[in-house]
Amino acid sequence: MAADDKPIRRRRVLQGIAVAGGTALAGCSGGGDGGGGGDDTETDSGGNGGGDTETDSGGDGGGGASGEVNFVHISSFEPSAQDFAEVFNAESDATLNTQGTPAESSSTREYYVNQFAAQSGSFDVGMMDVVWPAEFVGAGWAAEVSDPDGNMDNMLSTPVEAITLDGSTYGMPMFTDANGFYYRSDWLEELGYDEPPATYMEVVNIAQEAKEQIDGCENGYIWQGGSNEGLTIMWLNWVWGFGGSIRDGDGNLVVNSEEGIQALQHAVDLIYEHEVTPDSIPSSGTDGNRQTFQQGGTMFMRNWPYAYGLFQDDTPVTDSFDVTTMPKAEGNPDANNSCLGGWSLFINAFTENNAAAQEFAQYAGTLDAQEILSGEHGRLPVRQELYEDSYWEDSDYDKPGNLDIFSEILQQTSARPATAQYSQFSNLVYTECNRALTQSKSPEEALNDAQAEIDSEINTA
Amino acid sequence: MADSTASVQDTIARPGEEGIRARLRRYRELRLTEEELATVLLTPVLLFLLGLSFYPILDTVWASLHTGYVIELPGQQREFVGLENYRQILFPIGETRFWNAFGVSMFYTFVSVPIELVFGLVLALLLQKEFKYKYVAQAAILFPWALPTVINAKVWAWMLHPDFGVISDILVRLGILTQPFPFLSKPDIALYTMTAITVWKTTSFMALILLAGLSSIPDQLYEAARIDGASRWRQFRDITLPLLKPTLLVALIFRTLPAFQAFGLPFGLTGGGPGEATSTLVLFAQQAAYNNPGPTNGGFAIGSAAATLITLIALVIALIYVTTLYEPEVR
Repeated sequence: MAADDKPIRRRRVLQGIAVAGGTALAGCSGGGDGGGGGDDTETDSGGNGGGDTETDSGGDGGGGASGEVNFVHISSFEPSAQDFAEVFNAESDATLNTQGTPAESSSTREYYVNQFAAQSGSFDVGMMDVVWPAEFVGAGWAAEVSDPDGNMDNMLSTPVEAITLDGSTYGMPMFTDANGFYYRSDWLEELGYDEPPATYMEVVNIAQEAKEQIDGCENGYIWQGGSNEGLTIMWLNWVWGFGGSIRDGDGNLVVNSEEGIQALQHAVDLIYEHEVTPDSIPSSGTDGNRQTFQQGGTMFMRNWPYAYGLFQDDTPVTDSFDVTTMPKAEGNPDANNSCLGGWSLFINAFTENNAAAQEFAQYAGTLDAQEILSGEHGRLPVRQELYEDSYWEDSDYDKPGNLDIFSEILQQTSARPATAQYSQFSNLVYTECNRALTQSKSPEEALNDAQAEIDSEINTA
Repeated sequence: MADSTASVQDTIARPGEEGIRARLRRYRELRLTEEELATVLLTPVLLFLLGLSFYPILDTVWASLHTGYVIELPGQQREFVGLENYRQILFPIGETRFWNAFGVSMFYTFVSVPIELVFGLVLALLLQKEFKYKYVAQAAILFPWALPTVINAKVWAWMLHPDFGVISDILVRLGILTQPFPFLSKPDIALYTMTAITVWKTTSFMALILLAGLSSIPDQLYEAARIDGASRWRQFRDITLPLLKPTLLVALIFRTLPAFQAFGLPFGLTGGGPGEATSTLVLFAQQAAYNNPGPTNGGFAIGSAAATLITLIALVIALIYVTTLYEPEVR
């Protein structure tokens, strides 16, 4: 009986499968059509873009670009990007779409690298950290950015230099960054000091006093010690502060110099010798430090300008903190030891809508856009005009409180080495420095090991 | 089985003997021989595997033998370098990152999986018993496993946070610690912590698979054993374990290979640090691929070579399991 049933049952099943398959196929072809439609639209807008490029080069110059510009930005830039889109879409024929990538710059870079490797034009404009241009331009990923209105002429020189390679500009600087030394002004006063510490040992001494004498002071000095870019920058701060450099006379990258080892030894000593830095620092990052300082309980912190803005909103430290220039080694008061940061716009070399992307890049360099970034979002603008008090008299915003001190700090910045292999260099440095911070290796061993790899993989290139 | 085959053969002529017209008619009526049916049913899966699995795998292997661009453009050709990328990984200058990651992955895998197996078996035995709310308990233990890995990693990173973490706080309040302990800042402790987290997360998955195996063991066997006066331990040793062996094999392979390919947990929890104390093989491959694309995308070739090596090691582990544990005659 069962055996007799089988062929019939199977036939029904097969018919069922056939029907389902047919439906699925129909669905697929429907989807395929939809996809085709989408493709057509894209081709159209690409075509428009191409046409506009020609018009532009024909001498028309101002605006006229249309189509969509997809702007992929680091997620913390979201509020600024929204404001940009609002203004840009009102003024231009083109439409700006924004999309965020993860908050960590390394994840953002991975996203871009993935897209570039596939030669994808799925985004038109992105955000470039100050250390990426050599790599992005060298690989042919970032297109040239023109500056017909001369916006860059009025910008700070270092951010413009960062995107200039062989005399051409490959980005539009948006905002700059520098490391500041945050401190608890109330505790400093309580301990009887008029001025924040200016040298490394002053930092250590005051931090120790604070931990001993002030109730609620748990951490003396916190900084980025985790295995990430922040540690490379910290180490560079110290190297520069000790008067060192990481380029030798032949342009090779050298990390195991006397100052390099001294710098890392100082970092290790802060944790284990002077005991002003908690031993959790080897797993800490930038924003984690910011949160810790914000809760109170910390005397000193090294961080970026954005923390200043966040501390303004009703936090435990709102009225009791201040920020100053980075401390330096004893006897080296003129060191430029704050690390230059900052982001610029870049245009994807594989974009199909270069004209509209160029138009958006121009916009980011205008005073209007810069005023939004600084006045509304607390970034350090790249336009020099905004550092003058007189500029803000006619503005809807008050002059942001961090501009004066950070304009002083910006005078003391140095740039990270410009190399196409910066990511690899930094990865080697922070991994080995992190080993020293957990006392798995001595500072000298760690930097010698990093140097061996830098010599074999970067200095030979 | 033989019956049904015979009955199909009755209605369908042998392939060689039927004419083309008869065959077309048969197809139209969807009457197929065993071979034809197998072909029809397997083709989509094979195409799927070829396109989405074998092609990318072979392409990765091919990329690992080159250096340079992933996609070739005029003026951007890649160069065949043979096994050079493998040499750079296996015998590097400076730190032996691959071997460090290999050690981390081996520890992580072969410490966590046996512990998961024991805990999972205990959980499965408990859950098999009849009790009130049994199904609630069965669903509840699945919670850690259902949590997405990176979210799980972030949750634990916060719980272990030296300043705000609830774990340090509890331990301090209980008087076990005098001050908060930075679990993720000490190389060895960070690795142990990460291993403990994965045990917490995947023990329930182990339990689920073993529970399925346990329920397929016929009750009569235990009944007969009880009548013969076998002790509980004896029943476990001579009935449960041998009959559970095929399920254990599946469970081991299902847990060992993902543990060996762990990425999300170290990525989200520690980023591989401190130093490279928790950098697993796949995290190593990912970092090798992305940290050094350079002007010629060279990193992708190194990353491909690392991925190929990881696959080979995983295959060896799977082979060892299958050859030592697989016994077709059981059941």
